[in-house]
Amino acid sequence: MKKYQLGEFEEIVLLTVGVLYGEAYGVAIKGHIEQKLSRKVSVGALQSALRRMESKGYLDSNLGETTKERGGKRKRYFKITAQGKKALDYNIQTRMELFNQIPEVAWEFKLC
Amino acid sequence: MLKRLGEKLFTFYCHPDFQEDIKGDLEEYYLYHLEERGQKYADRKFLIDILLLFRLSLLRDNWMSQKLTNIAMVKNNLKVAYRSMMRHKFYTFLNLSGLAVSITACILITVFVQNELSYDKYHQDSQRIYRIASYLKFGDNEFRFPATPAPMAETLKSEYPEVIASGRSHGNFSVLMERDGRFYDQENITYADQGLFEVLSFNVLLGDPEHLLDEPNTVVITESEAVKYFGDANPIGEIIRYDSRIDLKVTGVIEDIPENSSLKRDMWITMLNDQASKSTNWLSNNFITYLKLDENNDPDALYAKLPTFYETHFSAQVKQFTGATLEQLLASGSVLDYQFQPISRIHLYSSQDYGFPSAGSIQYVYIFSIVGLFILLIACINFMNLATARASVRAKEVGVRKVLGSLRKQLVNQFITEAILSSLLAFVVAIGLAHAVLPYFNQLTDKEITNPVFGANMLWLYLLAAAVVIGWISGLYPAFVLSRFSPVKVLKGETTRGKSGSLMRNILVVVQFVTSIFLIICSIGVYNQLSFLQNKELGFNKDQVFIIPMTAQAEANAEAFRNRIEGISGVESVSLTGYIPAANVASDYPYVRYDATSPDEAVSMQSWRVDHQYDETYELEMVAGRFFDKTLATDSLAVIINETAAMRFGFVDGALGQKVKMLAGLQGEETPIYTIIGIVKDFHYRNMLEIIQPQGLFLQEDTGVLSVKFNAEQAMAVVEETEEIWSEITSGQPFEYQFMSDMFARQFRSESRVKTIFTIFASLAIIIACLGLFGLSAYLTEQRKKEIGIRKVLGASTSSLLGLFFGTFNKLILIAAIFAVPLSYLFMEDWLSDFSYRTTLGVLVFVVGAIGTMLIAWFTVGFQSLKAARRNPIDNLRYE
Repeated sequence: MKKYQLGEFEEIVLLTVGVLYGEAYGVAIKGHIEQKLSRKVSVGALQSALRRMESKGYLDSNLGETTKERGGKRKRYFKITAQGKKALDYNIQTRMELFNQIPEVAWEFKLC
Repeated sequence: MLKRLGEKLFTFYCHPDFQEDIKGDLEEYYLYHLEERGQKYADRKFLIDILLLFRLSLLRDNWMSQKLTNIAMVKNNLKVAYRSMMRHKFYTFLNLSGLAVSITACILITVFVQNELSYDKYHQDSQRIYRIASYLKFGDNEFRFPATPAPMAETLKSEYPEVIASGRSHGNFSVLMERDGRFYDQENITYADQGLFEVLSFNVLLGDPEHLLDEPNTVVITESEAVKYFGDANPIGEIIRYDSRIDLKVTGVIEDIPENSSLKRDMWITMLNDQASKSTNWLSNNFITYLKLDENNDPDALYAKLPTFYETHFSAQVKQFTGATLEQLLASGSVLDYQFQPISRIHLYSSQDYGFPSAGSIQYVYIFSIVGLFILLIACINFMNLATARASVRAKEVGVRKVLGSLRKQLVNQFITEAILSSLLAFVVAIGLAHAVLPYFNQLTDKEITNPVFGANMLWLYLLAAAVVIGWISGLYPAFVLSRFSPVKVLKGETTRGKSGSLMRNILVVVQFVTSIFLIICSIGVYNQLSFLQNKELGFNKDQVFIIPMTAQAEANAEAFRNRIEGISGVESVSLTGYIPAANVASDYPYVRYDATSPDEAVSMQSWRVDHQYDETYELEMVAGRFFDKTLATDSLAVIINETAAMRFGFVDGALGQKVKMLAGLQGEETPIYTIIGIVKDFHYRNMLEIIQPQGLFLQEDTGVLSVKFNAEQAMAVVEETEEIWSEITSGQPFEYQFMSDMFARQFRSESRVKTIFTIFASLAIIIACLGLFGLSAYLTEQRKKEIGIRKVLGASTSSLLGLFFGTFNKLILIAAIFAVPLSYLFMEDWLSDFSYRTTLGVLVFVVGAIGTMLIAWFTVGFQSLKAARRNPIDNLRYE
């Protein structure tokens, strides 16, 4: 069994939450991903990824202040937990390990 | 609008913890989109987002999220169920085998019933197809049959636009066919109209469906017949020679008629070849007519128009034939009534709705369904009884669980899981069993059912549901009884056999016995009635006669053939006539007394043409007078009537010497006058189920069939020699013969089939009930082990101990008998009332039923009891 369950989309969301430190709530995260990665993100996919990672313990969240914007609804700000950090590290590390193991020969592209 | 709807939807499904902030986010997107793209886009986007937010991780708590936490418990329950089943292998076996056998029986019965109910429903628009059934009454003579006058089909179609198609079928006969010099004794031939193929949607494989039979000398055959005659070659346009006389051209091949059809024929010759079909006589009914109505499908409206139809077409001929007008006849109590019988009801309801025989019967469908339910009930009761009886064994377990904090609900769940598991297992075994015995079942019921469970009927789906429901129901009661125990009492070792528990158990046992006794009595009753019919005095000898259907070539040399066969040693008598018993010959003609004045006095007589040796061949018994005499030429104008006819004519001072004539003679037509020279004892000339009707035997030539009476000891030699003579005379045509006794047995096939099926299922029910009783008595004796030991030490004898055990069961059986006897009496009376000849229900049937059950119960209980009573008391008492 994998030590840290983290899908590709989840990883992106997790990274983005880190990038937007302190300002990471739904709309901002979505906007950032769409802007930086030029991919469409649906609210449903994003929200379910957020809650899933929260229940796995990779994310923590707290509600912000009530404001007059957004119909008086509070924002939920997310931040990465220590566990989330470990999961990210693990993911990146395993990728790098694999990347480094690729022999030089593999990089010699030929038309074949 | 869309936004409000979306919000409501979201509030409905989303987990409350997540609602506020996600709603806020959505609001933000909405405002953004509103500014950028306008209201319409924003609304739509909002709704789409909400639909996409419907994700498992965002949902409210539901049964799915709950199941996740419960799965451990279910697993545990399954494990406990498995262990307890394995620990009591014997009882598990009793339970499962009883349940599995009963479910097998139920599966087979279900499949049987489904098949019976599916008859003729495969025709396209089958709900708009009707067969015409006729009910005619004329004086004292009543006729009910599914036949109409020849012109009726065509006339109805041309006069009433709501009849969109009509067609007839005439006869079901066998003829010698020839193809490429090879002969085939072709059975199941009928004449049919082109219209019949427009009414009934048989699947036409080859040929033009629009023009199958619209030319003379054409024939349509089924696929397997095509293979028989032509192998792989294309049969269209090929010739089959009919009775060495007519060349029939094959114009169509249809798929074999499905087994669930009421009209099963293999060869359909065009009606244009049938001389009788051109008849314009409205008073003779010989054609089976099928109609298809238009989309309004209103047979009642059409039926309401029939009186005018009778007036237009029947009245002239009625007047000519009887002298009275149709109105007068109807006013004096005669009936002319043609009804429209839905095709789907032909197989099961013909006898109920119209009083003529059909192959199936809705009654048997009901009876089998009831028996199936009974069997299932008995097995369920077994299950409940054994479970509650085992309560004492499980009581400690329940106590410990409760002390450790089990909730009652959890215990109930545990026991129900056990029950459902058993019933699922039983169903799996049952499905296997059903498949294994299916070939025998098909043979028994004369059906061709394949793949009963996983076929198109989706039975397995229902079975799965039934397994769960049955497990649940039969687990419910034990679950509540077992989970009710107070842990303190149980663990202290106090008795756990509550009074109410044993009362309930006794009630269930009584119910079982009621059903068992009911089934035993009914099967004895059914058996009695059917053997009564089979063994009833026929009035003629069927045992030493075989018959040979004549072909055209044989008929040409009939006399020579007969003379040569008479010469064979071992042949006692030979009679040449097509009018033989058991062949369903119908030839009704109305006769009146010579001195009659009104057509109301007419007696419809089965008028049979016979020869001089007929009485000798069939050993007919004469009540008065004599049979035809070769030496008296006057006998050509003589008639021999049966007792019923004599009574019906009402000859006060003896019928002998009296004269009768055909009804037409009353109108002054030239008809012969016949003198009655003898009265023959009534004999069952058709079959045992019908009441014997008036019959008259006339000395006239008919060469349809040769009946040979032989000496029983030389049977085989006679048949062989006859075959040789046959080949010589017919130059090598195949020799076909049948024993009269076989023909009679065949008439009983459907009845004896019912008898066998009923007996088998009734015995199954009883065996299953005994299985349960066996288990129950084993437990009860086990519980009373100590009591038995003490009684024995104090001097009780084995027999007095046995009396103790039997006493309990006897009481239950007695109570059951009190319920079962009246019930079965009512049921049997109802069933028997449908038979023209019926046995009486003696007291003996009921006594045997009740005592028989008691004996079986004694035997079952006795085995366990005897073991317990004979055991050394030390073994029973020592363990403390």
